[in-house]
Parts: sequence; structure tokens; C-alpha cells
Amino acid sequence: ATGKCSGKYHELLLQLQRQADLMQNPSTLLDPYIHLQGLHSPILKGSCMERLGDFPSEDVLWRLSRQDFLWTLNTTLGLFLRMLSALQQDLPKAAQQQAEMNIRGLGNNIHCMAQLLRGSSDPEAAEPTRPGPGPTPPPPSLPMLPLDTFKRKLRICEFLQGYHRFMRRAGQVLRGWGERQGRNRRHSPLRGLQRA
Amino acid sequence: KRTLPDLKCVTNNLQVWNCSWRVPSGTGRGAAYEVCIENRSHSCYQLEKDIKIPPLLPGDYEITVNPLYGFGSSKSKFILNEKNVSLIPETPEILNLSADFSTSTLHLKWNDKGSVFPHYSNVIWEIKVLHKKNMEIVKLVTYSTTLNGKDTVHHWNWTSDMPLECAIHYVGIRCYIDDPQFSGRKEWSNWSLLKNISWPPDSQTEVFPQDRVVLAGSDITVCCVTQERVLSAQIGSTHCPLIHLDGENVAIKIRNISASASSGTNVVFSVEDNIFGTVVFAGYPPDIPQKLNCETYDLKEIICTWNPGRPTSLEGPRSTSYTLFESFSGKYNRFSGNKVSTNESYQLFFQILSNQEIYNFTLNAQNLLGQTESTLLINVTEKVHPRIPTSVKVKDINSTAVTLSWHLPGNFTKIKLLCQIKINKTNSEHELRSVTMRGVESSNYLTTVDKLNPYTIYTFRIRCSTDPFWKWSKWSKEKQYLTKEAIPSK
Repeated sequence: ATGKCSGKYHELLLQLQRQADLMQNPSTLLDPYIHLQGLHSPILKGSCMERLGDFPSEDVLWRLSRQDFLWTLNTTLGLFLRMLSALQQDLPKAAQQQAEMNIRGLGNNIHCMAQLLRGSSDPEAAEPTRPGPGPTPPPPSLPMLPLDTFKRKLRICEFLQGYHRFMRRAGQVLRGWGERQGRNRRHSPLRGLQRA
Repeated sequence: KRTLPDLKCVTNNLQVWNCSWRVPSGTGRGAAYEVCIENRSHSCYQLEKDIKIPPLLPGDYEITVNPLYGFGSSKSKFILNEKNVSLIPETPEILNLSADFSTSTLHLKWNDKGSVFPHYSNVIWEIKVLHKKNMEIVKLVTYSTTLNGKDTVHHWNWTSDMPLECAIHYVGIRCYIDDPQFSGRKEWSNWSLLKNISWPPDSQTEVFPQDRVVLAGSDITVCCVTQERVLSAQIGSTHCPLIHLDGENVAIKIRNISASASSGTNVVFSVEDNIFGTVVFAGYPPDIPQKLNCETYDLKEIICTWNPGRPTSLEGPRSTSYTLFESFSGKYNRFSGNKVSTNESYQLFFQILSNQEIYNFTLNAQNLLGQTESTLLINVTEKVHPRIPTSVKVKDINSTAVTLSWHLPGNFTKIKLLCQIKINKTNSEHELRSVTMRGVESSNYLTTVDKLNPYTIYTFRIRCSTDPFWKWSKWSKEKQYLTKEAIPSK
């Protein structure tokens, strides 16, 4: 991560939420891919579903401490970035480059938020331990791509679908940070973070 | 004299005649005969109801059949002529039938057993290919060879337009010996035993062919090998009628396929709650490389550029590969274009070889659908397109003359350079001067510019070419200079 960090939690959280909202939109990557690969007929689009295990589930994300959530988000997107470069021949160039920029931009803010949380007095945020009682998220891994082109096209489609769905889930968790007050969820409110 | 009733003489190889006749009714079992042939050697044979005799020369021969024992018939005389003999070749045997599924090609191998044949003869082989479904002949072809007294193994390849995985393919062969010296009847052999080829049965549904590259405008058959009922099939977004094969296997016939987008054309089969598919890449063979031009900037390296011409619609790993081959040196250089658009020119570099001025280039363009080439013969010293002169410097000689120096990279020691100096005065009056010079090792060049006005601002620019001329370099950057003041005259 590069660039100066904002020290304002709400500002940073809002930025993270916006970025997640942008990146969950299929028009930024999946739709251009579907068009390029001729997968836009109803029957093909219908089979382009997220495959379980490609990205951490919603349940997993909700149960992570905020630090671990940021770590999982960052690690998962780092791997996705590697996948994007491996898929250069398959992806529309402009959409791929835009996605890379989005991911790097989000990475910067993840770094800043993690730094902010580390410096904060909120016990939950600064929880040193790895994931709490929630299941440890399976280490994200890159999917094995089939050799034959048709199956490869569909597998990449599933994977990109998963990326957008994962970003939607991340966005929901980030909104959860901001909204819920005093409820006993791992992502409880800010408490000790009201710094300027 | 009568011919023996139902006498049927057959020969497989013109070396032995097998003659047999219908034994008259009432003849007891085990009846035996003595058969004598009136030819030069008056040969006689004892036999039951068929006889193997060496071939008789053309002409009528009297046959005497004398019953040895048994009862019911007396001595008979008959006429036997080659014309009554049938040449029916031995049933051929297939040595091997194999398949290259990736190209849907069957390879057939058989032995013509020419060693049993006395002399050269033309043979016509008929080969049939059937599908299992209804044993419908999908291919019937004749193939001619010559028997040459030796056993010769023959090969025949056939590329099916339906992927071989789609159905069990059976192959049979028969032959007809067209021997001009034989005056009897010539007939086809029996069909060989059928040999078959099938894709190893697999419970997984598969679509074939996989990732096939085909010529745009051609027809292609795509099939789905499955145990499930196929509901529909479509190419791109166009639905196609299903052709039912064995079991639940189905095929579609795509006619006059359009050129694919860069990502290929998707062909999809739908079953109850799933889809299976393949991608077909329909494109064109490479166009003849156009506007092939080879020149050098510096007599160290040749750069060949060309225009790929019509796009092939095939990209990535299926894109056109180019090989630049130079025949005198035998050296070559290769280029694989990834992205192709009509007016994007391509380039390849080729190291200039010491002591070689003439280069005979062949640029070969190749993809999975074909290859083409362009050629170009150049004398590299006549194709110099110098780079932009750089490091232009001006030094006073006096108030009306300066030295101009510049750097022109290149191995020009063996040729002459022709450079032009554009001299601008501030009132936009400009003058062009030419200078020729020998190429130098250091690539630094110097010339004098005189007849200038004292204490005047001049702008100098330089460009160079060679002699013989090919192209001018671009103009150098401008170099402004104020000439010295003249020494006041006494």
C-alpha cells in the first residue's frame, strides 16, 4: 500500500464502502468478459454462477474480527489480482486494467484502516488473536482452469461472478461496521474510535 | 461337345483355377472322376467334385470326364476356355485401423498380398466407412494401386467431417483386379471383415470436436456424447436441429460457419439442468504479407515491416506466426503476432552479416488453416534509412563561417553519405545546402558552412541519406547560433 492515510475512521470507512459498492457491480468486469467471450445468451449467462469456495462466504466474513476481515479482504484480492494477470488473454483489456486499479485503490484504504484500527483503543478492533470462534477462513486459492476453451470460459465466468459477489458481501460487512450500535456482533460499533 | 453343366472355374490369383461343378442328382456320395485336359501334356486328375488346375493359356481345351466308380454317369467331353473363368481376388484383410481423434482422421492399413500374383496388375480397392447407428455408409471411396509381385502394405487416410468420437465407425475393404491379360470375367472380392473405431465409453458428457479451428464458410458437425437426454443445441445464439445418433448421442450440422470473434464461437448443448459445449474457431488462412519492406537504419540491423492483410479471425495461440528466412545465410527469425488488426504493420529484425550485402528474404505466414509467403531481394547498402542526426553543434571559424558537427549512428564506413543542411535566417529566409561525405567509424560528422552574415542568428537543421539514395532521415532538432561580429575594417 502506498499513499498517505486519512486518520478519520468514518471517512475511511465510507471510502471502503464506496469502493466495495463499485467493485461489486458486474458491469465493471464480468459483463465485458461475458460479452467478449460470447456468453451473453440466456442459457450461458444462466450457468455463470459463483462456485462455492472460490471466495470467503458471508458467514465467514461476519464472524471475523475487523482486523482479520481486513486481512482476509486484502489477501483474497491480492490473489484475485494475480489471477487477473494470468487471464490477460481472456479478459477485455480496459476492464482488466480498471479492475486492477480498483483493487489497488481498495488495498491502500484497507492498509490505512488496518493501521487506524491498530492504533485505536477499541479492544475488538485491536484483537490480537486470529479469527475468533468463527471458522477460520480457508486460505483462498486460485482455481484450476480447464484445458478446453469452453469449460475454461465458464470457469472464469464463475470466478468473476464470485469476485463481484464477494465484494458485495464485503460491502455489507463494512456497512455493518458503521450501522450496528451496541449489538453483540463481532462487528460492533466504533466505541473508542471517535478520533478527529 | 458340351461345357460341363454349372462348371464354375474361379481363380484368386491367376496361378490356380478352382473348377467345380454340380454333381448330377442320383450320384452316390464319394463318387470320383478322372478328368483329363487335352493340352500339350494331356494331364489327368482324379477328384471328387472340384479340381485345381494350373491356368490354361487362352483358347479352347477339351476336357474328358471319366467316372471312376459310383454309378449313374458315363464318360463326357467338354470345352474349357479362360473366358469361362472368373477372377475373384482373395478377400482382403485389414492389418490395422487407427484414429487420430484430434483431427477426426481414420488411418487404414492393409496388405495387398501382391506376392501371390504372377505379374503387374492394376488393383482397385473399394473402402467403405459406416456409422453404427444404422450401418449407413458415410463414405465409399475407390483407391487404385498396382500389384508388383511383392506384398505391399498400403495406407489410406480419411478425415471425417463428423468427429470420430460421435459414433462407432466401421471400415471394410474389397478389391477388383483389373488384369488386362486375363480374358475371363473379373469380379469384386468379398468385403473384408469390418474393423471399428470408437471413443472409449465414458460416463461424462463431452462435446466434440474440442477447440477445432475451421475455415470460415465451411460446414462442421458438432456432437454431444452423453447418457442424458439433450434438450437443445445452439451455435452462438442460433438454435440448431438435433441429429440423433447412437443412444442419447446427438449432433448438429453447422453449414457455412461465419468467421468467429476473437474468442471463438460457442456451441452449447443443454440437458435437464446442465449445459455442455465447445468452442469453434472459424477463420481464414493468413493473407499474403503485403508491403513487405526491409531496410536498415544503421547497417547493423535490418528491419523488415509488412502488413498482415486480411484479418484471420484467429488470435492468441491460434494467431498467425511469421518466419523471416534469409536464403544465403540460412538464418531466420520468428514472430508470433498476438493482436491483429487490418492496418497494423508488423516488424521483424535481422542482424546484418559481415561481408554480406545481398539478402534474399522469404517471409512465411502460417496458421492452422494454411500458409503463404512474400519474398524480397535487397542490397542492404541501397536500403539505408538513417536515423535522426543528433548532438548538433556549431563552432565559429570566423564571422562568416562555422563548423557544424553532428552524430549519426551507423556502420557507414563503406558507403557515402549525402546530408542536407537547412539554414534559416530570422527573417524566415532559408537556404538548403548539400554535402557528401564518407561514413566514419566514430559516427561523428563535421562540415563547414560559409558565406554567412556576421553577427546574425541562424537556425541550422540537418538530415542525411546515403548514396545510392533510399530515404532521408528526419530533420535534426534546430540549432540556433549567432555568428561572430565582423572585425571592423581599418
